Amino acid sequence: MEGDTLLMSRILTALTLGFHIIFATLGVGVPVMISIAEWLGIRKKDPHYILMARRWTRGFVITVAVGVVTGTSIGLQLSLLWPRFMQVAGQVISLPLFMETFAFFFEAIFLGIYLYTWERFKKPIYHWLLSIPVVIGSSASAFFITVVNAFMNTPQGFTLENGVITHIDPIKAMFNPATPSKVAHVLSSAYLTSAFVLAAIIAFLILRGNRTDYYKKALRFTMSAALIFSVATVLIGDWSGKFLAEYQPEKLAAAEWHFETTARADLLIGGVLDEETLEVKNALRIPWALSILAGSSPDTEVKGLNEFDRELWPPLMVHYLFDLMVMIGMYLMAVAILFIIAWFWKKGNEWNPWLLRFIVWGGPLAMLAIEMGWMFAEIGRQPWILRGYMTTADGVTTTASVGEMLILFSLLYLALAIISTSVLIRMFKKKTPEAELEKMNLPL
Amino acid sequence: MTLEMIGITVLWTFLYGYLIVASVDFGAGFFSYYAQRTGKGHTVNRVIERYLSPVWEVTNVFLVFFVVGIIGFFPDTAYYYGTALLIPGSIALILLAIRGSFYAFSQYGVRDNKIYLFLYGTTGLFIPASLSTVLTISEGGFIVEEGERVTFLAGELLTSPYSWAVVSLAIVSVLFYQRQFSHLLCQSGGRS
Repeated sequence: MEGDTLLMSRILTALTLGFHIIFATLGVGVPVMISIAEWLGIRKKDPHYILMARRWTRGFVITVAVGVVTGTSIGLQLSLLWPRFMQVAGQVISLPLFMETFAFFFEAIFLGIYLYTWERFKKPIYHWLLSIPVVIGSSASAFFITVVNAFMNTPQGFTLENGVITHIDPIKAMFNPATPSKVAHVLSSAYLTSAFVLAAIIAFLILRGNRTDYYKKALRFTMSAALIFSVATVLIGDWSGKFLAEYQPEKLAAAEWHFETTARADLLIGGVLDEETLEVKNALRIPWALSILAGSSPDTEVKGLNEFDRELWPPLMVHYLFDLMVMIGMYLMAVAILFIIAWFWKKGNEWNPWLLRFIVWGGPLAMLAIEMGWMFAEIGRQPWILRGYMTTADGVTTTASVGEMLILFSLLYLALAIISTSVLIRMFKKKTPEAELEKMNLPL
Repeated sequence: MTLEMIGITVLWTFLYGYLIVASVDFGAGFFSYYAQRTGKGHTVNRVIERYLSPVWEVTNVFLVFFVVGIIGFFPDTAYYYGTALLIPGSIALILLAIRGSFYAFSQYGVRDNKIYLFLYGTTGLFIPASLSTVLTISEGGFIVEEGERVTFLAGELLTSPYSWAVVSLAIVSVLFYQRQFSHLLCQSGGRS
């Protein structure tokens, strides 16, 4: 019974987070794309970019709504499903939790004004200025909530004596060792995923035969952004690897099935692990690469899992999550580079159907990488809910009816997924960019 | 002032903020649906829609502020409520999620969809009902602690006449309060 509650609570938390993160990622990244598009439109005096910003904003409000309601769910589920964890950690992390809500509040107010003031200002730049607080608010929300997650990985800023927390220093807790690399990785990957999702939609429409300037400009713009954000994400991902090697070595070791502490450690891709003998079969080995990831030099010693008690090992399946996330990251960067080469190289053809198809796949793949990354971050922290202080099993609720709640929430998320998608499709099918441009007497 | 006094003052401010904004908002949703079904009071509801509807995101914020506040200031109560309120809390969350998202779907996406409006309108009555049970639970008698285990007596709550009285009071007062509010709003709107 106890075990059931733990498993059900973990599944329900994973379900809520996994669903919320789709909308949260778009909620953080899309405002950046909207703001840049409107600014480009004003600078270049090109109404096509303004139209992009307006259309994306319309879709954005729908995704924001689902993001808000699922965000409220996870915010309260933390207390409902993990009351003992919140009793201990809540006092320390209530500051970033509060700031996260406040940042969202700030964003929501300015988003409301931004929505209703298109063409209300004499100078269009004033309207663009309103997009800045929306970008700041959404990215600040991501910052504060990532801080909470970073705290769960490398807690500090308090003393725990006999189950009572004293000497709380909320600022020290917020700026824990995991914060810088984690926040940077969450933000850059959210921007990258949003750029790629938008690019994938446009590439899909171009493949369907929409070849006017509007689509071409939109694809060039989103893919340029995707290139910048993908390079940033890969670099920051490398930094995250170095953070793990120093502060959470068991997580990196589990991700790479690295058991013996050695220098010149190999990086493993794929493969099958025999959990009894800890032998790895059929993996692609890149010599020295793990040492380079951990410390920029092949001579870096990488701690192996054998240095830790076996009951404190994270589940070893995280290797696949890690691999998939990294491979998708590389794929996105490669596709973005390929597109830019095809665009600037005179003999290249950036409208090659295969290139467009690669971009279309990139959208859902980018979202999959976000999911894999978060699953890796969460499962890789096990058995801890608050690393070094409290195990996940100790934090869970004692209430028995989590299973029923899991069914209710699954139905809710299923309904929201289907209906929000169909609302978005209907919205954009009803008003095509061509129709809108024609209405404004503008060239296609 | 002690930390507890500061804490409880902050919490009551958030709670009152939530009660005021949310009651108006919940009532507005119901009347908006009612007007659409009966064709009555269209002008009034235009006013409601224009002035009140954008606050729904803000109402959620107040609720989360309250929850975060109670965790920060009174971590032990957060533990007991967290354990005891899994069922009523989850139901309120699901209703809030339905309400918020269907408001956005009908407002920004597909206008005047009857099912969306129905969900938006009726959940507005059930949310105060489910949240008001927290008040009844806080009076005591519905949570038992045996050693490490905190149990919520759902059967007791569902059969308690007091609990149902609170629930019906919540629904009636939300509707009454909202009507008063929009009455005031229309009067001042009529003058200018």
